[in-house]
Amino acid sequence: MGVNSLPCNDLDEQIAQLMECKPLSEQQVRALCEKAKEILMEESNVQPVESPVTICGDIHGQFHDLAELFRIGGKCPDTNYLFMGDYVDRGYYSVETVTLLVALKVRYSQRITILRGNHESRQITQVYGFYDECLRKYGNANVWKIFTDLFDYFPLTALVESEIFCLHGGLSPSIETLDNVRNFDRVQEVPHEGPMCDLLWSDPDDRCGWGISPRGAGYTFGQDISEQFNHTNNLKLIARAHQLVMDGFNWAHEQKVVTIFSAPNYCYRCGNMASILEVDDCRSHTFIQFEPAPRRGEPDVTRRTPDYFL
Amino acid sequence: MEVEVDEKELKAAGAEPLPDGRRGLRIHGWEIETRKLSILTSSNLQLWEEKLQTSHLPEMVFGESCLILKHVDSGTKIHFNAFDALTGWKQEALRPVEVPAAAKWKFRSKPSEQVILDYDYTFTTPYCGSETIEIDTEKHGREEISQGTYGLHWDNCEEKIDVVSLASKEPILFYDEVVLYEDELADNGVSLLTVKVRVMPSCWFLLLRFWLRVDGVLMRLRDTRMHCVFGVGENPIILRESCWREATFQVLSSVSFSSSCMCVCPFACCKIMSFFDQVGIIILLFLVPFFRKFVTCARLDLDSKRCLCIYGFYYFVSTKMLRLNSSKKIRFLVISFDIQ
Repeated sequence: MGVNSLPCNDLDEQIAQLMECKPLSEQQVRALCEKAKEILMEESNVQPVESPVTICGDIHGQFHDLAELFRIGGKCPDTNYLFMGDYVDRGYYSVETVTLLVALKVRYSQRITILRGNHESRQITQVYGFYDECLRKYGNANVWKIFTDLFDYFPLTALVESEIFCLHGGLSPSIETLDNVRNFDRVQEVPHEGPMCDLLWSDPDDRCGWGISPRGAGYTFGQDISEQFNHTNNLKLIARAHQLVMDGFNWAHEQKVVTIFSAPNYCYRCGNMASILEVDDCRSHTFIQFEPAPRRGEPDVTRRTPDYFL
Repeated sequence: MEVEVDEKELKAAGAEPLPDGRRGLRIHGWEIETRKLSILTSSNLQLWEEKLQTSHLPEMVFGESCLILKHVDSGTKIHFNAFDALTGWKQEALRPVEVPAAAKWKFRSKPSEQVILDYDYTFTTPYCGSETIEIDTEKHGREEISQGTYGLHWDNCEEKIDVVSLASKEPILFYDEVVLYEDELADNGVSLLTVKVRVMPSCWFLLLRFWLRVDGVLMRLRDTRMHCVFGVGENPIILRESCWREATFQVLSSVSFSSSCMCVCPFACCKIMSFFDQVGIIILLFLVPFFRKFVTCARLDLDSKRCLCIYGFYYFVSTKMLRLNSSKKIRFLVISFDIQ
C-alpha cells in the first residue's frame, strides 16, 4: 500500500479539478504519470480483480458521459471499477478523460483497474484526435508524449474472480492459456501483429474458427474458439469492448463473450446506448444502460451552418 | 439541425416549411425533406443482414435517415438511403484493399483452421440515389412503383450543372446534411456516405458523397451532384453529374507537398492522414486531369401528367475501369491550402 499512503491532498484537489473537466498543468501531468508508472509496472499482464466490480468499455474522450457513468455506477472509490481501454480519441475531452482515470488509479490503486485499448498507442492517437487535442490544449506535444509513454505500462487483461476474462479486443491464435499472456513483455508500443496486437484488436464473429479480416490484418474468432479458451482456462465469460454496439452491450457466442461499450451517442451522433456491467459480491451480473449526459458547452455536431457547397 | 430561416425569405420564395415538425420545405411543387435518426438497433441490423445476405455491415448504419425530394404532381421521388446504397455495395463487391500491416501478417504462422474473410470492408458503393414513383390512386390508395416499372431512368445529355449560378450568394432556404453510413475500418481510416442538400429560391442542389480513406493505402471519392432549377419550361429537369476519383498514398507521396504543410507535420505521414478528411478531398478535387475521372451529365424530365417522359440515362462504370493503376502521371495542379 506504499503508494496509497502518499499524501493525497494535492491529488484530491487535482481529481476535483478534473471532475470539473479542467485539465491539469503539464508539470502536474508529468508528476502524476511518474507515480502511475510505478503502480502500473507492478501489475500483471493478467491483473487479478476481486468482486464487486463494475466493468466498463470504450469512453473515447466523452468526458461528460464518463462523469455520468460515475453518477450512475457510483463514485470511485465507493464503487470498484475496471475499464477496458480506449479512453482517448474521437471525443472532445480525451485529455481530461485519461488524466482523470490515471489520477484515480494513482489515488485508489486497489479500487480501479485501467487496461490498455488499441487507442492507447502512439500511432493511433496521432490519427484519431488525442495528439491534436494535446497540441491544442497545451501548445506542444509533451503531454501526449508523457501519456503515450505511460500507456506502454497499462496491463493488457484482467481476471475477475478467476472467471471473467476482461480485455479490450479479443483472443489470439498464439494464446491458449492465461499463462501465455502472463509471460510476454508488454512494455512497448502496440505492435502491428502478434499476440499483443490480437488482444487489443480482434473481434468475435459468427463464423467458426479463426478468420482473417479482409484488410489482411486482424483476427476474428468464432464460438468454438471462445468455448475452447473458456474451457481450458476455467472461465465463465470473456468481457471485451472495442466495438460499437447499439444497446451498450451485446452477447455473442451463446453468452461466452460479451461486448461492452460505454460511450453513449458515440461521436455525438450515433444515438446508441452505453452500458456498464456490475459484478456483485455473489458474482451475479447486471448490465446498467445509460444515455448521454446533458451537454454543457459542447459543440453540437448536428448544428451546422448552411454551407454553399458545390 | 434548426437553421434559422427568415420567414419573409421563405414567403418571398413561395416556400413553406413542412408541417408537424418535419424537417424540410415545400417549394415550387417539390417537397424536400430530411430525416435524421439513430444508427440501426441490433434487431434491425440483423434484419438488414438477412435482406442483404451479409454478416458485415458498416459499424454505423443510419438506416432510418434519408433525404427525399418529391415532385408532388408527378409523384416522382428522388431519395437517398443507406439500404439502397448498401445494395449497391453488395453488388459491386470490390476486392478488399490490404492495409499496410498486412505485409507483416503474411509472415505470421497461421492457426490450423483459418478462413480469409472476403468482402469489401470499405463499403464502396456506386450508389447515386434512388428513384421511385408514388401514385395516389383513389381505389388503391397510395402505391409505390419502383424505378423501372415506368421506365424511369436517366438520359445522357450535354448540359452541365451551372456551377457559376450555384456560386452566387442566393439565400439558402433549407440546408441539411444526412449521414447514411459510416465505418472507421477498425481504425484503419474512414468510409463515409453522406448527402447534403441546399434549397434556394431559384433551385435545389445536392451532393451525395462517398469518401474513403484507408490509412497508408488509398483515398477514394465518389460524388453525385443533382441540380434542379425551378420554373424552367413545363417540366422540371434534374441534372445529375457523377464523378469518381481515387489515388493511392504511394502516388500521393511521390508528389511534393507544399512546404507550409510539411512544416506543421512532425509526423508527416500520420498527420497527413488525419488531415485528409478535410484536405484530402480538396487535393483529390484538383488531381486532374490524369486521374481516372468520370464526369457524366444526365437529366430527368418529369411530366406533370404522371406519364413519365424520361430522357433516361443510367451511368455505370465497371469496376474494371476503376482499378488503380500505379500511374505516375498523377500530379497536383493546386496544392496550397490553409492548415488552420
